[in-house]
Order: sequence, then structure tokens, then C-alpha cells
Amino acid sequence: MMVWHRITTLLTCPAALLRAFFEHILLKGMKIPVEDTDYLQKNELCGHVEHKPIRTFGKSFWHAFLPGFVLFILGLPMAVIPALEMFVSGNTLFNIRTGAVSVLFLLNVVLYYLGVSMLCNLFPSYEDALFLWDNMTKAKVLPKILLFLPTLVIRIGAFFARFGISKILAIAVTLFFIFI
Amino acid sequence: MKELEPTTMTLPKGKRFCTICGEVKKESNFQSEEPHCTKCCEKMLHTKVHWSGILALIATLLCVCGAVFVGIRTIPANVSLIRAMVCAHQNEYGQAADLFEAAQEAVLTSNKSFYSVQELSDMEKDNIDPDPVFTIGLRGWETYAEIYANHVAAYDTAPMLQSNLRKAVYQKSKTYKKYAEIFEAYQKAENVAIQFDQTDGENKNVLKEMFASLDALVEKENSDMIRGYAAYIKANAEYYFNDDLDQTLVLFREAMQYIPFEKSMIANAALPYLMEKKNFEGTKEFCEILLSRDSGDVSTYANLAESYFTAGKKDEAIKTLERMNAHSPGNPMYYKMQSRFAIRSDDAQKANAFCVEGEQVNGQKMEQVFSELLRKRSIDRKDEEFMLSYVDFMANQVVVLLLSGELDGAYNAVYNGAFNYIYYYSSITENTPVVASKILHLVYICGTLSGNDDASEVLSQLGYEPTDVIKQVAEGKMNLHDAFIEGKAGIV
Repeated sequence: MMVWHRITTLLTCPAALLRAFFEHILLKGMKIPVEDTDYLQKNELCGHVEHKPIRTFGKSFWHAFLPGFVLFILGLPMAVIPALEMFVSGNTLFNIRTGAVSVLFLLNVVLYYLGVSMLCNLFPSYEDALFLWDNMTKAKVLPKILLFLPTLVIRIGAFFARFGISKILAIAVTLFFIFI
Repeated sequence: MKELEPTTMTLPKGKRFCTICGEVKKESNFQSEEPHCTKCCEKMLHTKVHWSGILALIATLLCVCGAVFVGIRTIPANVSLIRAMVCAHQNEYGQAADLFEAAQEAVLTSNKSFYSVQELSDMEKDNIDPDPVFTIGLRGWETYAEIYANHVAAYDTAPMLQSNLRKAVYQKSKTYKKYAEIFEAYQKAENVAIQFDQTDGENKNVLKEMFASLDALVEKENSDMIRGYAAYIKANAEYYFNDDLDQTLVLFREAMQYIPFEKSMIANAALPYLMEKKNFEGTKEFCEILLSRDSGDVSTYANLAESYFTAGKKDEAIKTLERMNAHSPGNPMYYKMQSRFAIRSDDAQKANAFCVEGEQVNGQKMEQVFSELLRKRSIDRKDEEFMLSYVDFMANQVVVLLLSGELDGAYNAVYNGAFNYIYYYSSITENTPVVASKILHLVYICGTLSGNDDASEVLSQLGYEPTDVIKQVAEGKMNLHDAFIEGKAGIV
């Protein structure tokens, strides 16, 4: 199944690259040693940055949560706005009034691809998610209660993401909208 | 930085192996339990971010800006479109039609946003539309086709649907194919009619040729749609050129059998003929067809009530108006028709009571609609219907004032009220409604009778020419009773 992860991550490489970049900046900011700065490695760390284990729950939570959150904020308008234009209004490659090739449609296709790519790369590597879970169990009661739900979501999301399920789902949703 | 495996060689005392650089260093070069030396640790803390990441970030931010730019201009239209689709799905076609118009308006506004005020003003003068950068797509137009096939007569919207649906390149959906077939059929039948029309219908042989062409088309295509549209076109031709109402009705009924989804269009086309010929039974039949498709259509109620009244069935006429009022409470058409029937029944007191009540119920709303029209320089369809209906109602108010001898009051009401509304409405929408001629007649009559010639210059500027009957009324040669109560002036 890991091969699916690699294929689908390469399909969404702009967002994978951006996620790794965000992770890198965050790790530098939190003074966590980074072992490998190759953003698109040919293994399951594709789209992530290899780093030394993060020992505290706070740092490991921000490392798992923030890059995905930023990608979500950036990716949502890029996915939703073109989706409305293409799937609700039904705009096509040729302008319906003039018959000429629509630049707006081409822009929408690019934006939709980038937006969906970003929404497909929201979760950290499974290894980081396990570390996060482990750190949470050792954390104090209050942060444990407050951050239990997001941590659980991140762990489940990371589990599915390692099989490339989020990307396959995105492709399926897109095809569904095209053909309904 | 790949970690190295420690060698199996025994290290000298006080020294450690760095898993990053692979060197054996003194213990003091390591931090407590870390497997790498301080120098390597420093290196790992200060790794440089890759240029590709910075490039990706800049490109992403630009794309987000692009998406927001597009979103600001397209989301209002798409939200209206989604709401229209939901309403159409729930068979609320009237509301869906309004929402679709809102979507069109939003698209137009978005396209205008690329131009300066001066450029827009020039384009308006030259009657040029802004470039269609943003458009409603194929799925939007399919919704439109569905709404209008179920709500308003498709005849009125056929050209718009044709120009938009036909130009679309990827026509895969069943909905599109269905409507494309309809308009294909309509256009084929209409082409034959246009050929005939070019001869002004003077030559009866051409009429025969047209009918023969339509029959040939029906035989060749073997399609119910073609049969339906051919019958519809023949029906109109029968009335215009042969003045044969019975045959016209037969053909209209035949058309309804073949193209039942066009019942509203056919009934709307038949109604003026039936009213003109004062055919009560036919009017009743076709009005009921229209009301079965849109039970809130006030114009149809008004036509049906008028037909009952003309046939002497006054109670039925009033009942029909009450039905209309139940569906659309307090609408100006109700008060207009009630006051009209009261005037024609020579019951000035009742007519006056309805005028006062109509004014109380609708006067304030009319002020709002009018100020909105002046502010926005455009008018919504519902408001447009209300305004024209209200102005028609005002014409009756003026007639009531005239009949009660209040000449100055009548002149003020028509010149400062109804005429104002119509004048601004026409200048903004560039559309002269039917009721405008009625108002101009009343301005002329009131102005002449009261000796007030303020309006005469405006009337001549508008190129107004009174008819002989109106001249007689204005000059006092025909009494007001004959003009209005007997209906000779054609105003009430």
C-alpha cells in the first residue's frame, strides 16, 4: 500500500513540497534538529522533513497541526471557488457566450488542482503522529483533555494518509462532481 | 544527513562516536546522551530552507490571491445559482426564476467591475455589453431551461436559451439534448412562418404554401414536437390572415396535445384572440389552463374576471377577483379591477372606496419601489409588475376623480403621479409599457378639460397624438359617462 502513498503524494507534489517547507520552518523555529532537508524523498517521508524526535507534547502538537492548518486555510478557497465555477455553474473550456477558449476555466483547473492537493496533504507522517500520541499520554491532564480530539483526528488522518486514501478520495469526489 | 552505525571497534576511554559525521571525538564534544557531536547538532539546527519551498510558497500565495479575486466576482452568482437549483428541485419555480435572475445580475456586475465609470457609461450609450469574462455555465442554463419550461412561457425565453445553449460545446447531458431538440423543432417550424411573413400575408396562396411546407416538415420529421409547433404556428396564421377563431382554437388545442410542456405559451397566445372576439367559453377554458400551471398569475385572473364581466356574469367576475386576492393579497391589480368594474357599473361610491383602499394598501410600497428605481437605475421583475399594475390602478383613480367632477385633482393625480412613474420607468428601462398610452390620454384629457396646459409641451415632445375619440372627450364633445362608463375611450 505504501506505493499508493508515493504515487499519490507525487501527484500532489506542489502541496507536498509546501508542507515539507512549512514543517522545516517550524522545526527550525522550535529548535528541533533536522536530519534531512530533502522535501520530496523517495520513501514514505515524501512531503515531510526527517527530524530528531520531539520530546514535548506542545512542540509535537504544533509540528503536527500547524503546517496542515495553514495548508487548509490556503487550500480551501483554491478548491471551493473553482469547484463552484466548474461543477455548479458548469463552465467549460469554451466560453458559453463567445465560443472562445476560456482563460478563466484554465485558471480554475489549475487552482482546483492546487487546492485539492493542499487539502490532501493536511496530515503529518504516521511516525510523527505516533510520537504525538505517545507525547500526549505523558502530558499533563489539562492539555491532554483540551487537545485529545485534534490529536485523535491527526492520528487517524495520518494513518489513512499513509495509504494515500485522502488523495484517492479527492479524485473520486472530483470525478463524482464531473459526471453527476 | 544519514546517521552512521557505530563501528564494532572498541573506542578509547573518554571518546565517543558521532553518528552524523562518523568521527571519534572527545566526550566534551557531546551533549549528555545525544549520539551526535555538538558541531553536527549545530549544523542540524541551522539547516537552510530549500529555494523550491520559497518558490512554492510565493506561487501558492499568488494562486490564493487569484482564487480570492475570482471568488469575489463569482461567489454571489454561484450562491444564487445553487439556491435556484434547490428551489427548482423543490418545484418552487417562481422563486427559482427570481434567484436565477439574481445570478445573472451578479455575473453582469462582475463583468462590469473591469471597466471605469466612464467606460461603462459609454458602453451603455452604445448599447454594448461588457466582455463576458464571467458567465453562467452549461449547468446553470440547464437549470434555467428547466425553470422556464415549468414556470413562464418558453416562447419568450427561447432566443436567450438558444443563444446560450447552442454555443456550448460539450453537450452531453440529457437535459440539454431535450431542450436543444425543442428549440430545433421550434426554429424549423418558425422559419417556414418567417418566409410567409415576409410577404405580409397578402397572398393567400403563400398561406397555403406555408401550410403545405409545415405539413411536409411534419411528415419528414415525424416528431410530436414538430407537429405541436407547426400547429401552434398555423393557429396564429389562421387568426391573423383568415380571421377564423374556431379553426385557431382547434389548432391551439392540437398543439397542446403534442407539446403539453408549452401549454402556458399556447394559452397565452390564444388569450388575446379570445378576448378580442369576446369568446367567453374559450377565455374561461384557456385562463383555467394558465391558472392550473401558475395559480398566482394575477393577469390571468384579471382576464378571466374581465371575460365574466363582459359576459354579464358580474358575481362570477367578483368571485374571480376574490380568488386572485386570496392568492396574492392586496395586489394593485385587484383594486384596479374592482374599481374598474365599479366604474363600469356606474357605482362611483364603490369605485372611490376601492381606490382609497388600494391607495392605503399599496401607496407606501409604490413610493419605495419608485425611489429604489431612481436609485438603482434598474428594476426587479416583481417590482416592475407591481409598478405597472399600480399605475394602471392609478388610471382608474383619475377616472373616478374625473367622473366626480374634480378636474384639478384628476390632473394632479395623473400628471404628478402616474405620468411621473411611467416617464422615469420608460427612460430607465427604455421600455414603453402598454399602460403608458392610457396615462398620456388621461394627461391630455385632464389638461384640456381643466385648462391647464403645463403638460402640453411635454406631450408634444413625446410625439403624443390624441385619437379622435380622446379629442372629443377632451373638447367636451363626448360626455364622460359614454367615454368611461360605456368604455368608448378604451381607458377603463
